[in-house]
Amino acid sequence: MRFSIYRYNPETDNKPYMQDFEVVVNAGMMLRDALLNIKEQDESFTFRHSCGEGVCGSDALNINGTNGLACITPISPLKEPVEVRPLPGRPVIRDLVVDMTQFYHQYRSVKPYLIVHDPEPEEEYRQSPEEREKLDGLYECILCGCCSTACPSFWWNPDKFRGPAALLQSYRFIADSRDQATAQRLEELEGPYRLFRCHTIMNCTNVCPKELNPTKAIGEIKKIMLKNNT
Amino acid sequence: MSGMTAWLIQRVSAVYLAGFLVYFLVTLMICTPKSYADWHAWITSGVMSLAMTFFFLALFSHAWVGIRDVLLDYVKPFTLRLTLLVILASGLAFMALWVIRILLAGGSV
Repeated sequence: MRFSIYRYNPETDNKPYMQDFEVVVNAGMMLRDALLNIKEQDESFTFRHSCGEGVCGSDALNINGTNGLACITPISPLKEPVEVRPLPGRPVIRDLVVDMTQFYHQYRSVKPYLIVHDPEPEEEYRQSPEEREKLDGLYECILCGCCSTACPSFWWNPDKFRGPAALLQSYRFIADSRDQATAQRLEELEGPYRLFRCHTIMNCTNVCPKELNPTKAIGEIKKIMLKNNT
Repeated sequence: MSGMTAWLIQRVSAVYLAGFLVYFLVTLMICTPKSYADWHAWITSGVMSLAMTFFFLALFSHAWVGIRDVLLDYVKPFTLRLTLLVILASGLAFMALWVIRILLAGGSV
């Protein structure tokens, strides 16, 4: 099977280029396996990967134009030559490895942790099954970055727009019955950029390898904002 | 303008524009005015002229939020963005004044 891989080594190359590889494939092979094979053919080639089963979120790549995790992308249905590029819009460090600093910065700025002003309970925080259910579809995010780097609004304003991944996490804590900083979280998202650059393009939901729905979470944040304002 | 206000204006005006346009076009198709006098009487009737005024109000605010969004997305240099926003605002204000003039003139004939 033919692969066309994005290559760029800033120390030796003036410009990025696409390099072709041939990989002998077998049934059930995932893209990550093919990339490992390519690395055997050319040891200078590099990409991030770790768990190999869609849990760590390290090998998010642009595969034939669509973001996804290489380790859970079967290669048999892919169109040949399979074009593998780094996540769009991020600075390339080398080959398929990109700099995700800005993405993590946006994640950090939504304060992705419980904020509780009351004294901590002696034993544990209590939550009813219904309250816990509200976090389903939110807590599963593995921060691979497929969504934010597929979002045109994030391409144009990655320094100001929080991006779908960070906003999904913001809603994850807004929806959490134990969190006591909803007002502060909503206030932080006001203004024309941080939340409202989202134009419901839905690329995020389309590419999410965990089948989460950041667009819906963003809509829920807007709904709560509206309710609190009126 | 804050994000929430702009977003709300866009949504509310969109709903009104859609509703009014459907009503306007369906009415035109079902009971087409037979003469200019009929048309004039329909357009200048109390409710219709009020609805028409709201239509243009919604149209211009919807256009303002929408095009402002495009400028915020794509135009980064501050002076260029400000210039374009001023051109947009004055263009829309000019059209709004023109519309007011037409509506007032129509009512007084």
